Amino acid sequence: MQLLNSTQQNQSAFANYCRTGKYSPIKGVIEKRAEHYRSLVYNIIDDTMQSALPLTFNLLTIEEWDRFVNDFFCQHNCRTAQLWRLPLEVHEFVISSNYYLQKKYPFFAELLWFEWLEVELFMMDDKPASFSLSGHILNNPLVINPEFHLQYFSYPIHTKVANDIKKEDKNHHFLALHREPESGKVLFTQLSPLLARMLEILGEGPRSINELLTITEKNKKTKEGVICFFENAIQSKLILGYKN
Amino acid sequence: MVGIGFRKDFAEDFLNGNELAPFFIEVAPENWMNVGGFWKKKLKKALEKYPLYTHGLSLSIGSPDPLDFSFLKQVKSFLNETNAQIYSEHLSYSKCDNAHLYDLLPIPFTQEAVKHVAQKIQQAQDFLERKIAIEIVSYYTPIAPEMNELDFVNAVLTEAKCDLLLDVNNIYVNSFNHQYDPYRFIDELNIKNTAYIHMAGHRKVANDLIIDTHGEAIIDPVYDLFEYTMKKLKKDVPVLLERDFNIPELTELQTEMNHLQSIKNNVLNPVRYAVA
Repeated sequence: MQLLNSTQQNQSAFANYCRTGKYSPIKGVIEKRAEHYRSLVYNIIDDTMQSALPLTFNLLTIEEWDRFVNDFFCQHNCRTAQLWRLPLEVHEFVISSNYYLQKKYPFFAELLWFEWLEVELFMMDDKPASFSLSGHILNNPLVINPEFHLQYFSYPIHTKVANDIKKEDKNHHFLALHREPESGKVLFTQLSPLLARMLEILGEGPRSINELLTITEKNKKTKEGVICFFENAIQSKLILGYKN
Repeated sequence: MVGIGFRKDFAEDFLNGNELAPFFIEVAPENWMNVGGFWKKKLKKALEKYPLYTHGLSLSIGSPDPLDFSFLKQVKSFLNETNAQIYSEHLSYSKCDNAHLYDLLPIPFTQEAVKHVAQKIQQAQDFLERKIAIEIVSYYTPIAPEMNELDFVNAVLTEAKCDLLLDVNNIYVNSFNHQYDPYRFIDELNIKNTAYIHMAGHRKVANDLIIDTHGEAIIDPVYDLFEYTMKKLKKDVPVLLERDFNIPELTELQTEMNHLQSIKNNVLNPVRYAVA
């Protein structure tokens, strides 16, 4: 059964007030008390965004932040029932609305995406993996942690404080993020283009370092650095081990 | 049985210490379903020791929008995976015009809303293959009411054939904010299918307004109303202590839980003195 228009319209008007803060009289509503709902709802969004997007919060002025939260909540229909997923929708909003702050901060969308990836990796459901801890570093196929994300950025949002990033910093920046299985912490690894390509290949399935070097056509000189990287990656659990 | 809301704020201390000894824990499925890593491990550890009761936030049963069955499907999986004893939700709406608001807005007390909400509760119960315990929420302003709160709630409970989550603090808060007698409200409320009770603290923000914060200790008038409610119920119903903000030492929470348990014990198993 659908609600009759009057009940539905009153609910819609009240919800709209809570989102925008712009009140138009609604039958039976005590305006002064309605303000508490607006505060409660707004504070939930503000707190969630501050907590999930600390780098963005630190970057913006108070006025910019308040307008950002307000614009997002007024203009975007939040779809997720799970609050921790809200940062993804904040990023979508910035992209789809071509949000004005991107002019002042050209790395704005990338910063939001970076912060979302960290939240997502920390929270996302477990992904099982089958691997062995024993193997030969060069010859045995390596198993990458399935709880990882490989990302390309135009700005060094993972190495510089956001306020210090300049337009001239625009370049090619590769980053691996993964969840350490025991602690659940998200770890970040800065990558060269070659290592990023190798991790991309490992994301498709286990390969040995020798195979990776052949595929990427790299010589002996590179080999030592690659081995060193993957030894460290095994320590940090970006690489879980070897194919069974 | 007295339980506690399992909060991330004190999960570590709770799981590693012994200051808090609830009979069960409660979580909001939305905050834990499809979650892995660190928090999944914590929940798993908690579930090894305590039965789970659940209290949803986002079903928005009073919304003009239709039910979100893909969301309900995830809730159902979570309830089954965790062997949840109870699934409860709010008699309110938190989603409207396809947008979540993440808080509990009051439903207009109208006959149309009764029909609409009751039908949605039934649909959700059919889908989940279990009863839902519906909670009367605190509210600070009515919206276009055509009937009073009590008649609205009783009508929903009757038509939806659902269980009741009786939040005694909410009855107290509403009675203060809307100037009615909470004892009379309990007398006239259809409490026959009460499956679960919530108890919490609140904050008085003006001479005529209390906000249901879950951030303070329970006050004596609410304990008194709880005792009265238990006398009316005359049966052992699980009780939850809600504390969402301003978390005190865990020993303080245990003291509150002990107080609730002792009130229950006194009502349900009164000490009988022999007459000389």
